[in-house]
Amino acid sequence: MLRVENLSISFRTDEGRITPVQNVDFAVDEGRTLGLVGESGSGKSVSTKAIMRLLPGAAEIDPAARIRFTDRRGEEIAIEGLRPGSRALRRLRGGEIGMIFQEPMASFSPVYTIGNQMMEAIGLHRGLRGRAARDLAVEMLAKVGISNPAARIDQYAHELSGGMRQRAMIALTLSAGPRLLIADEPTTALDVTIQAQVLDLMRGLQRDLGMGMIFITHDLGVIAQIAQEVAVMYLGVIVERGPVREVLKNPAHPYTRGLIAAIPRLDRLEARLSPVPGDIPSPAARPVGCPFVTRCAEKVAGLCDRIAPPPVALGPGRVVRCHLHAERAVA
Amino acid sequence: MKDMSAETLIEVKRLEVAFEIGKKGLFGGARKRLRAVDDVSFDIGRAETVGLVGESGSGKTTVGRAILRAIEPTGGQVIYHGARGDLDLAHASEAEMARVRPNLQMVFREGGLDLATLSGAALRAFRPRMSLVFQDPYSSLNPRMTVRDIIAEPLTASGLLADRAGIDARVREIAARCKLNLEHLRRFPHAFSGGQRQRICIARALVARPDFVVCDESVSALDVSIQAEIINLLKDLQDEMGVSFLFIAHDLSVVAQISHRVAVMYVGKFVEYAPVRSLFFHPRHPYTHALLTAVPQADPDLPFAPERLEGEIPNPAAAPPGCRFHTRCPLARPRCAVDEPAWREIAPAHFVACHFAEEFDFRRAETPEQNREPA
Repeated sequence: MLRVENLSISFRTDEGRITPVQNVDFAVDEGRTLGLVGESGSGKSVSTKAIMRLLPGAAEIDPAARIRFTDRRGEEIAIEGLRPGSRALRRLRGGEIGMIFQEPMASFSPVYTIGNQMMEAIGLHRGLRGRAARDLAVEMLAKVGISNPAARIDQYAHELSGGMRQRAMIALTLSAGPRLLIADEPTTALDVTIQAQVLDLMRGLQRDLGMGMIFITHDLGVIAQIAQEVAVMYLGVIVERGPVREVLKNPAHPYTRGLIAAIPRLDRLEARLSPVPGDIPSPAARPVGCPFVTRCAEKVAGLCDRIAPPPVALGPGRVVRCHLHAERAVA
Repeated sequence: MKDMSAETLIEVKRLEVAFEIGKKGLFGGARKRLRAVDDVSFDIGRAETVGLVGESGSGKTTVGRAILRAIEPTGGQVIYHGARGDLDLAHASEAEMARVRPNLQMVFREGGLDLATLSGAALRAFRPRMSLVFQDPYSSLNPRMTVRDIIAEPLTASGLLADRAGIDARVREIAARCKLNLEHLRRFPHAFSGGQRQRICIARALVARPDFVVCDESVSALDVSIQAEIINLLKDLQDEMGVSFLFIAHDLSVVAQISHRVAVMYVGKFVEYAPVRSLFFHPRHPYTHALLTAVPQADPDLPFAPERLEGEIPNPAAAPPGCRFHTRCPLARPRCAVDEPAWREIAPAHFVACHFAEEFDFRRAETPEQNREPA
C-alpha cells in the first residue's frame, strides 16, 4: 500500500547543506507492521514526516524520490508530487494516513475537549456530524480501553494520565479511519506496564481494522513484539532490512550486530556488556563511504571509507548495505 | 558478586518524605499530606550498587535526593557510616557537623541544580563525599565553564585541594579514567556528544573520591550503543575506587546489569528488596513479577506474555488502603484491601511486603551464559 523509493532529504543549515536521509527504500503492506529502528539522529522520524509532507520549509526532497500510496479507492497517489495545501494532501493526512507521536500532550489542543477534537476529525474524514459523530467517538474511546468513555469524552487532555492520554491520542487518530498508521515512538515516554497495555491495544486494533503500520522506535524489544518487518537506520541510511525474526536472529550488518549485542538483557546477568565503540558522528560531519565506517570493527580500508556500499539482496525482502556482503555475493 | 557480609555504608531507617499539598480548609482544616516516601528502610554496603526501580511517581527519585538531603526528610534516619564515625544525615545539626567537618571540609555545588538553597552550610560539608549523576547530560553542565573547570568544581569549591597543579593532576587522572580526551579539557561542554557529556558528569562526581554516588536515570537519555559503555565504565570505577552507587532507573534490564541488590518501589513504598539474582529470577511480589514480564525482549524466541495490570498507578496523595498494589494486583484477595502487608525477610536477604508471597511461584528461566561478543 505504500512504497518509498530513493528518498533523500536535505536541509539547508548555517553549517551548510546536510542530508539526514539518503536513498531510503521501504514498503508497507496492508495489515502488516514495518518497524523503523535507529538511534537519535538516524533520520527515522524525518523520513516518515516526508510521507505526510510535514517537513519544514528548509527541507528539500530529492527529485528522484518516489513516495507512492494506494488509497482506499485503489488509486495510486504520487505523494512527492502533491502541492502543499492541496485538497488531495488534506484528504491524505488523517483520513488515509494517520500519525501518533511520543508526546500526546503536544497533539491535543488544550482548549477543546477530547470529544470536540475527535468529532472534528470524524466530520472531516468520515462525513458524520452531531449525534452520529459523538457515538463513534465514544465507541473509539471504549475500543482503546478508556473506562467510562461517555464521561471522558467531555474532558480535556490535561485531565488524563499519561497512559490514558496516549490511548486517547490513538483513538483520535483512528477515529478518522486511516488505512496506514505512522506511530512515532508512541510508547517511549510510558512506564513499562502501561507500554505493554498500549502495545497489546495497537496489535489488536491492527488485527481488527487491517491497517498498515510504520512503528518508529529505538527499542529492538518493542520491534520484536509488534513488527513483522524491520528496517535499521544509521545516519540516514537503511543499513539493513528484512523480516524481524531473521534480522534479530541473524543480523547481517555490523551495526545491527553491535546494537543487538549492546542491549542489556533480563535473562543474562553480570555479563559484561559489549558497547559499539565510538560515538555517532554528527550529520554535518558524515563520513565518506559507508556511514558506519568510523565505528566498524570489520571495515575494509580503502573500500568502506571511500565508496558507499550499494544494497545487496540476501533473500526475500532482505537487503543489507555492506561491502562485506557484496564481496561474498560476487565470490 | 559483592560479599554480603561487607561493611554497611548507608543505613536508611523508616525514611519518610511528606509534602503538604492543596489549600487549607475554610475553617483552618489541615492540608492534605502526600507521602512521597513512606516508611522506607534499607542499607547500602561499601563498594556496592543498589538498584532502585519503579514507575513514574513511585518516589524513587525522592529517596535518592532525601538521602543526600537535597530534599528534607520528614521522618526516619539516614545513618552514614563514615571513616570517622557515624552520623545521622537526616538530623545532622550544625554542632554535629562541626565535629566531623575537619574530615570532610568540602563544598560541592551540583552543576544543574542549586542545592545551596535547600540545605544548610553544615550539610554542604558532606556533599563532596556524596555526589549525584543526573539523567540529562545537557542541562547538568554549565555551558560557560570549560570541561576542566566543571570536573574540578568539587575540589575547588570545597578547598580540598588548593594548588592548581594538584587539582590539574587529579582532574587529568579522573578524566583519563573516564576515557575523555585530555586535549579536550579546555573545551566547553556544547562541543561534546551525549555519551561524552555523561562521562564528564561521572568524572565530576568522582573527582573528590566520594564514598557514595546517587545515579538518577544516568544512562536513560543515551542511545543503546553508547549506554553499554557507560554502564561498563561505572562498574570499572567501582572496582577501582570502592565507591557505592544508588542506581535509580526505570529500565529494569539496565538495573539488572549493574546492581548487586535491587529494590522495587510502588507508590512511595518498597515492595521488594533482594540480591539481583533472586529478585530477577525468583521474584516474590506480584508487582515485581508484572514489571519483569512487561519488558519486551529483543529476542523473538522469548515469550512475551505481560501480566495484565488493570488501570493506572494510583496518585500518592490518594494511596489505596491496605496493600497499595491491591487495586491493580491480579492476585489480590479481600485481606489485601484492609491490612497493610508487613515488610519481612522471606528468604535470606530477600525482603518483601506481600501477605501471600509464599504461595506464588514466579520463577523465571535464566538463559545460560553464552558468548555475547558480536560474531
